[in-house]
Amino acid sequence: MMPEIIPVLGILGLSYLSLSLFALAKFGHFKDVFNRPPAQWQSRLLTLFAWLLLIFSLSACANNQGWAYGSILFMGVISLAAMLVILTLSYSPRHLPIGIVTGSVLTGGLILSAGI
Amino acid sequence: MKETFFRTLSWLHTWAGLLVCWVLLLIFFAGSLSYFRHEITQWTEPELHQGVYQDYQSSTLESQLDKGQSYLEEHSPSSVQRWMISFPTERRPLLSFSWQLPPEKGQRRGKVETHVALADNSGIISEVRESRGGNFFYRLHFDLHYMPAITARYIVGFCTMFMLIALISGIVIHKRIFKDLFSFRRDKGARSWLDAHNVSSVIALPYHIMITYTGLITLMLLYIPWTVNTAYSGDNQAFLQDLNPDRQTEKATGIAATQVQLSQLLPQIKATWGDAPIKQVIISFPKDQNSQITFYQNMGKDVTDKANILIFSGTTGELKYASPHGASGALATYDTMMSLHTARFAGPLLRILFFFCGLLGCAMVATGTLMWAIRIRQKQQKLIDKGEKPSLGLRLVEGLNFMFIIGLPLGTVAFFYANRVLPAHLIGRAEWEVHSLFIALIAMGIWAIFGRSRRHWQMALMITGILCCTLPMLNALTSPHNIIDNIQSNQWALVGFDLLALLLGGIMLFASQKLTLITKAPAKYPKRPTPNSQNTPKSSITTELSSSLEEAKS
Amino acid sequence: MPNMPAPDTSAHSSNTQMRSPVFLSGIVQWFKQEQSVYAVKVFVRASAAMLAGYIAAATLACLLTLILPMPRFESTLTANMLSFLFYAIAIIYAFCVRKTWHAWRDLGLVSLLCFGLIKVCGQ
Repeated sequence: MMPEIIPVLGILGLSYLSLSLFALAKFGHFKDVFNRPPAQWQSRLLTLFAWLLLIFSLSACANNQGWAYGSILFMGVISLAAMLVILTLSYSPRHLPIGIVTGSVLTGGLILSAGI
Repeated sequence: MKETFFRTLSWLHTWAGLLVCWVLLLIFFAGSLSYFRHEITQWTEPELHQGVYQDYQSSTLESQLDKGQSYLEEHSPSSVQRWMISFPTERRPLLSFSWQLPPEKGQRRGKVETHVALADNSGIISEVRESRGGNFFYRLHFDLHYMPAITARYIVGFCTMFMLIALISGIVIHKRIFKDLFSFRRDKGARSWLDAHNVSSVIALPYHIMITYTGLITLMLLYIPWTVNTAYSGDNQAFLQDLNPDRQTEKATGIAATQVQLSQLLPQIKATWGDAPIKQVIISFPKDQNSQITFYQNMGKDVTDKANILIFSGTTGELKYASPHGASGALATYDTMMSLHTARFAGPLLRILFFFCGLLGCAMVATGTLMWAIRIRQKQQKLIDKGEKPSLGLRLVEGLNFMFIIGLPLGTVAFFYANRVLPAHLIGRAEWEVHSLFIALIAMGIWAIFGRSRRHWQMALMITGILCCTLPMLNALTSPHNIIDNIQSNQWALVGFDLLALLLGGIMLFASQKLTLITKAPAKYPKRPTPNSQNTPKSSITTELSSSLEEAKS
Repeated sequence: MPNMPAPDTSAHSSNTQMRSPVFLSGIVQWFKQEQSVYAVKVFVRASAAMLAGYIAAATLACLLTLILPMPRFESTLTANMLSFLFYAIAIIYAFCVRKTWHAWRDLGLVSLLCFGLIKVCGQ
């Protein structure tokens, strides 16, 4: 079980990052988190990075688990990540940046250790 | 129905969902639990919690086969239809020998008796309590209960079709699907319920569509059988032969013959399959001239439901059939669809994610119908304040909501309690476990007749949550091991069961606590729209939905 | 629609059940009311969706098994897997088409057409 869980946690972190950037690109959520509206270029940049991360996490998933199994796993992971982002945003939006930082540190470490 | 496409679809969404939502909830719930079918079965057989777990080892195959064959020859009755030897797999890590008796009158399948070998080869456990375990939830998912299986499957198919319609119309009417993807505004009354409904549907949307459509496909030959008639001009047997080339059509001859030694076939298997693990061996009509031996390969994580098998003659040991390598496009698609639905290929993590998505499906159905009840109550609030009774439809929906949303988890918990508390040799024990589930469900229905207010919800949730949280304690008291021992001995299935029970029970307690908070702060009381919540701008769907409801009502 | 709040008319008609002419005129009255027209429309569309839609989807699937350029086993599976998509489209069509009776007409026509083609192809 342990060897399986490490890369999946990494992918979960990646999807969480990607989805939280998607959320930040939205006017309302950005305002909730940073207390000011996003500039248009910020919004665009966030969306772009979100897409890149999403694609990266899908490819990491496929790379790690094979295309058939990996893409199914990815769908499940992304549902869980979306749930986590929604919970963060609705219960303490101010902590989203902290979540992002921990998420990215975890992801980086885990991906490096798993050697994807 | 209505003037515009969108309003028609939102009307359709409401009614298609509402009409079948309680059956759908049952199906979703049972389906989610059947992802853990084998794990639940393992939990419900505490006799097997000690000394039987072992890993698959190709080095011991030969001795295990010999031992199984001699054990079955010695112990099984002569009228037996099949022998089965199951090797340890990831999800069912035990070596078991079983036989199937010929079906009794009126039954389609004969009874199976299973004996499990001890891991240290010192003996066999033959006395295991009678319980349907996880298989019950698996059957409940599409055969329901207390009715003929075929009728139940038609009902399930009908409801699934409604679900598909509700999904499609829901996607169309939810215009802000990506805009509102992360919006969950809590403590905003009906708005929060709509958000919860949207969130639970949208974040697992691929899963919902997949599971609904593949669900229809698993039983498609029952629902639309005429394609076979057309293509095969009525020759259904030919189609079935194409679908399952390994289907056994021969009958027992009644002429006795000597059975080939199973372990002698191993070199041939190794030549075809290499080191791929074997899952099971089935010997049909043992000691008969038409006896047949089928080896099943353990397919691991392949996303397919196709069985990879080798069939040998039971008397000569000659290879009669081997699964071909490549499948045709349509058949491969069909196999993939089936396996996506059953998730037999899924490893533990993916299995948990599937379960999570299944629970989101339950949440989607439950929030949808709760939201309907809340909106209708808002509409009737003025009349209710004047002292009139809420309409029959509203009372019915609220009652059924209470009965199913609380009753299903409570019933499941009751099932597990019955499994451990009922005396081991009670006659009809397995049936009584099942009855206890439905008794709990009906008890909740009766409760709902007398009260369905927030306080009742809170109390019922609390009871269910506490019972659920004490399942690990029950396990510790009524089985040889508690959760700590199981962690030490790496019994992750049993540990997972306990942890999941704690988690789900905790969520229920949390929900009941939330309800207390809401009752204490009447400004946020969702069932009574305060001026505050009415001022919040409603999205287009909300207005759409409520106006369509208004018209549906009038 | 078992969960739809019962219309007031039911109480009304049961009061006038005493004598048959009044009872008959009660039925006529019932049909003249707007909400009764609505109920009948819903019934017609729902039955078209469920029944005619099913027949249309099934005949279309049967037709596909014959005309798809694959071996018969594969075409059967493919057609059967697609049939639920057809059924879903038919149901949504039945509720969205502008005139109520068109739901029955169009789905019936599709079924007839497919049935005719099956007969032609089958020979």
